[in-house]
Amino acid sequence: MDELDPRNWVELFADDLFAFACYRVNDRENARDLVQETFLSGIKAVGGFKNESAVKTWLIAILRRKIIDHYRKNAQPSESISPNEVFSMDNEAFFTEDGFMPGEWKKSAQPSEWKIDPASEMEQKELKKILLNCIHKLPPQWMSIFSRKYLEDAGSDEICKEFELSPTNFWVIIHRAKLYMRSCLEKNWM
Amino acid sequence: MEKVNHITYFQKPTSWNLCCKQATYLTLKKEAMKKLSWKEELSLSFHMLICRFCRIFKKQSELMNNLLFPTEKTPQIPLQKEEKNNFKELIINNLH
Repeated sequence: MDELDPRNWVELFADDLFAFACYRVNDRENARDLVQETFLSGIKAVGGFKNESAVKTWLIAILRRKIIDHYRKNAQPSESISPNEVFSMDNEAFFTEDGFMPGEWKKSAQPSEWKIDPASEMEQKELKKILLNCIHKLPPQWMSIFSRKYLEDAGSDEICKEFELSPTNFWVIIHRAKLYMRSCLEKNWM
Repeated sequence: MEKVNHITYFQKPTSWNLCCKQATYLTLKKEAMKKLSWKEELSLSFHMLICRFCRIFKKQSELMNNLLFPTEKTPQIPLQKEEKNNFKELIINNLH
């Protein structure tokens, strides 16, 4: 079957793309719409497709961008935090910068225990929803890196190459993003 | 993207007594790499012994990972024949 012919795409790729999307958006309808949009964008772009990657990998890359856009679109603007705010948050809000021992948790940022029932599926779902909401409050580049790492489980080397980051830069972004995500989850959960 | 190195980020070199900023950083690194150098490993375990907040951070970080990328696939209804046919129709209508 010719993979480059869009008429064969449903047969060849629909199930895999759909599974990929379901896994990440947690809603069947949304996942289906995203796959549909992926096919449509694919048709427009297939003329420029170069055989550097498999067609499936290429379609998944399109789908991945659609998913990120999907989260961005659904971000609640009222709660949105501007990138600058997040940036300044890291250096001032989480750890002390001077004093006897710099780098300690600030009082306002100290993690507190979450009361979560690990057996409750409702709670897990609710938490995940909040967490996904927190992701798209990250600055766009961080969000892409964070999703590649934690939603898609991509390897660190791979991500560094993709975003042209030094390993230290990469870990600093992951560190800041995770600190922010943790505090965002705590604020919205409690 | 600004260039960073460890010293400017942490404002102190990595030594046996980590601050919480370094400990959380190494916690994330360990989570992903599964492994740290023995020096890092040693200083991190020491810090974890004495710091309750970093222990909580570690636990919550793992919880977040599991929520985002569960090891078990969420049960789902596969695409139905009708949905696939809709896709096919749409694709054919959009071919030029």
